[in-house]
Amino acid sequence: MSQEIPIGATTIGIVFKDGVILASEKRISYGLTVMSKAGKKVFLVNDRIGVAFAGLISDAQAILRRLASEIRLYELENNKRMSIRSAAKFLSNLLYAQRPFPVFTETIIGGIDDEGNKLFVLDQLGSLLEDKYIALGTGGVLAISIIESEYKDGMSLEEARNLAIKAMKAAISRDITSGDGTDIVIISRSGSKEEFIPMK
Amino acid sequence: MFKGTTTIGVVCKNGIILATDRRVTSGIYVAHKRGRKIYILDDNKAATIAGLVADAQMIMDYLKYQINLMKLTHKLPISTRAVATLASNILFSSRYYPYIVQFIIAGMDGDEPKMYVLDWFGTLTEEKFVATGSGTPYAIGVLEAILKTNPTIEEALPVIAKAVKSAMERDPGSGEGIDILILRKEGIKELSDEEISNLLKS
Repeated sequence: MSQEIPIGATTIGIVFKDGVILASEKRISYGLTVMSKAGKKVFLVNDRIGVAFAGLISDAQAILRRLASEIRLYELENNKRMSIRSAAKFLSNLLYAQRPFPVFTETIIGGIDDEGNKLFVLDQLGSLLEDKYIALGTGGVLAISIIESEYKDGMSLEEARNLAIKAMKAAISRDITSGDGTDIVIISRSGSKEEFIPMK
Repeated sequence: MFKGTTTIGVVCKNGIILATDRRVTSGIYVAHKRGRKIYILDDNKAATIAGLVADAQMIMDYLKYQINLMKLTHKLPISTRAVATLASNILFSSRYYPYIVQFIIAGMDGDEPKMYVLDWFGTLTEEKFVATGSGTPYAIGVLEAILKTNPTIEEALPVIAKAVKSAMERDPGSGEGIDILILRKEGIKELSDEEISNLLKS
């Protein structure tokens, strides 16, 4: 989405009828060198909240550790689940606190709570926007065109999953900094899971 | 993420109108098609934002919080001028590392409509009609040409809709549709999509 970020990636999020689906490809490239084919950019924070990143992996991992522990702490102290909106707002504040020296990541946070199925996107500085579908990273522009042309409100899990895979395949095939398979996180009313889909 | 943006504010006889487009951009990528650029700060106050989204959101949150706090501690309504001055102080406090934003802050102080404009550094001016964001040249041209001095809300609405539409035609940073908010003594009203498309037809 943003061209300032030096490291490529494709990361998407889609809201469907019973939850949200997040997906990222696994390539970590520095310039034209593939540093790793096993990068993990999408995570289940707990069974109801997921995050997905595009950008510098170290920054993403540091943010994830902080976010996951703060959510856990909140839930223990207050004895209730944190809403997705609250988690997103916390993340927004976390990122904005580093406004003078920002992280090099863009983040999708999504999940399910009493408010419904929620998906938010944050840029490097912590701007917070809600949407029904999101694509980030250098391959994001390729992925979003696929998602936008086929997205419908109230899609089933199967439809959303297929759309996510189709969008990731399109991005991987035309963005050289994305590739090596796709990690998918599905958060739905009938349970949450992570899966890996090999792609060429 | 950046709001290329067109925003307009017009002070009328019986109220104030704020209008914005809905496009959020990141470079040349359209990052969101229904970006919210009007913030309702209080029962009778609202603001528009343009510029860096993160900066604008944080300052709007802070203004809302301060307005609430002042109402609770002083048990008096806070003037629009005070809110604008607070925003100006926030912006100027970061003079050498500026928040990249432009705001229009508008409110009804009793019967009296008041509207202020702020730039990056906190420059504060009171205006009768104004535009901010990358679509400003197009929008302000329409306002200068067609808008009457001291119009009623009914007279100003179609002109404002036309001004935002003109900016969306020629400024790639603006687009996707129009939000319009009307502040009156009686309270705040937001126009529906249908009402706005009717305005554009008239």
